[in-house]
Amino acid sequence: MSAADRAAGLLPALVRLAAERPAPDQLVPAALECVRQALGAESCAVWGDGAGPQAAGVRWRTAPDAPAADGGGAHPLVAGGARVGTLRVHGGEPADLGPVCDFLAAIVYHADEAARAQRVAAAHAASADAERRFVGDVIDALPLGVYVTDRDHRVRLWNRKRELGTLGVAREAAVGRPIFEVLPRQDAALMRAEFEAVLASGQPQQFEIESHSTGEARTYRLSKLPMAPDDAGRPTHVLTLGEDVTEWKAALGRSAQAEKLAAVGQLAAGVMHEINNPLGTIAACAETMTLALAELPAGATAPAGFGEYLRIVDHEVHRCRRIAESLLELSRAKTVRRARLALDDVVERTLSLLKHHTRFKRCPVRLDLGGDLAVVADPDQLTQVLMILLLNAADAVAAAPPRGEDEPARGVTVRTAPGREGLAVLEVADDGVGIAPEARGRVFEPFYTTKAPGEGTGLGLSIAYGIVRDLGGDVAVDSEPGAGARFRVTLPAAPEGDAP
Amino acid sequence: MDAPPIRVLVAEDEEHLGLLVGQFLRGRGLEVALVRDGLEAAARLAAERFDVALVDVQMPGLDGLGVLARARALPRPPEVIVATGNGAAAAVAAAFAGGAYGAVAKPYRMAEVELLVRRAAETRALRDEVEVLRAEVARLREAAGVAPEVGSGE
Repeated sequence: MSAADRAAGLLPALVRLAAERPAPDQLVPAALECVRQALGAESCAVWGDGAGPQAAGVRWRTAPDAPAADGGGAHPLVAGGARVGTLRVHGGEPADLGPVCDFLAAIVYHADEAARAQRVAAAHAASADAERRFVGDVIDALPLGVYVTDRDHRVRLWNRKRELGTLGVAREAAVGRPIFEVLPRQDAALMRAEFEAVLASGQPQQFEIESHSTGEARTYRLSKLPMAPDDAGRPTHVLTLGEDVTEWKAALGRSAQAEKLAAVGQLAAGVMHEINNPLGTIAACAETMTLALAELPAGATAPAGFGEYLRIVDHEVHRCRRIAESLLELSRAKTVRRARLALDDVVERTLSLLKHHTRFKRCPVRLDLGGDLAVVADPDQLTQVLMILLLNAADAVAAAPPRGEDEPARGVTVRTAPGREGLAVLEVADDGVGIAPEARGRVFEPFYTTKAPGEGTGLGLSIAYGIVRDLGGDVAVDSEPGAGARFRVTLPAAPEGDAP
Repeated sequence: MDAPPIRVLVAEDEEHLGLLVGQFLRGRGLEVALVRDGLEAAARLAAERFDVALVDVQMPGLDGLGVLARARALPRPPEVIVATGNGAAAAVAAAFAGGAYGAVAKPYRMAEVELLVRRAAETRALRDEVEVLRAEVARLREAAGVAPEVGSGE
């Protein structure tokens, strides 16, 4: 057989082999064996040239332990316009190996291309994985409970925050399961309706729920947002966010309360401002009539009681004036002279002012002073705050039934202490009648009073509250009816080393 | 010899209050002129001799502090008492800084206002007396050939 005939007979056999063994690692050794037998060669091998990703050296032999044919004739393998390797044939008949080389070159070329594609795909997969992990970390780091359900209400995503707390569920116990099984304590029909509504309408839903599961009342805001992850147009998933908004709601309430107080104070002050003028006229009328009564001509007598009535008019006018003064104080843009004050000095000073007040005759004041606490405030204003709290406390004590002989007498305790970081606490606690729960939220409102008409203006605590808020502090009240009340003033502590 | 009556200008835009105060002070032996706005008050003070002016802070035209300023610029200013509708510390402080003799907050007792007016009039009379005596001293020093040393006026 001529060299050309031997080569021509090889090609169909190689094509048959290629059909049986698609993987290059099976096909190439089999093809080499086929070539070796046809040529009667000792060994055949395909070598890499070190170009591209493949190392230089033997890549395929007829069998794993076959010789590398390194001494044999070298036939270049060229495909895709580039050298992809070398066919080496050791011994045997000479032959025209052109078609065989083209065949092997094509297989090596495709094997290399496939390997390259695989590497690129793997790199892509790795980077996509890292990306996914990062997004997952972000979702886990959110201070929100986050989960995603699909059209069948199965959980597809469940973040770390949703695993925590008493309402938490482990991710492994949630992902893949219907949400109604994961959260069995929630009304399944209601939840289903909510999810369906979001999916059908494409509109988010938001609502707040109260929960007592942690032992205290917490408010959560739940948001259900439609998701169309594949740009499908209509939503296929629902993203549910759960946020604990208890603190936020409380802060909102406090700020609304402060604004309400300020607005009411200003309105009332404007009214009182105008009222002083007619009051002045009324007072002058009463005074003129009183004078006329005193200067009645001999023999004439005034109707019985007129003198007393005029005295009452005068008394009430001046009561109105006191109310107006308190109100104006409440709303006045205060010019204050702030200084560094030792809190305990303020307590001592206020008590010395109140020592002789009739309300403290039968109401012992106990002190629990915290030592060197300093705040920056106007001394007169801070004294006023404490005076208001003390007088209220004394009233509350006076309104409570006295205790038996062997019990400690009802009284008032003034306490100063360091508060949380950077705060100083001034507390006035009494053993008085206490404050009803419904009144507790209103005690700082102007004109709110539980005292009998004429006994209080209902402005004292509003004024105290306004002063403390101006100083950047807060006043909180804590009380049980019948068990006394505790007003706690917190103020920013003066910075260390401030000149006194 | 009876002292001449104290002359008071009452500037009050509250009609009834002005009438009552005027009537009260007249009844107590004072001579009272009554006006109802600030510009009129300033004009009367410039044109006539008053010992005391009781001036409401809030008035149309010219407010009480404006009346005070114009009064103090007169060669022989009356003592000025301001009446405030709200006892606002700022207005009271401004009044004292502007040379007011005193301040009262509405609603006031007219008897207290009367006392304040009488004390203000007394101060005004003492100032007049100081003026007279200073002039006398100066005249005597001049007659004796001594250079005048005492200041002449407020």
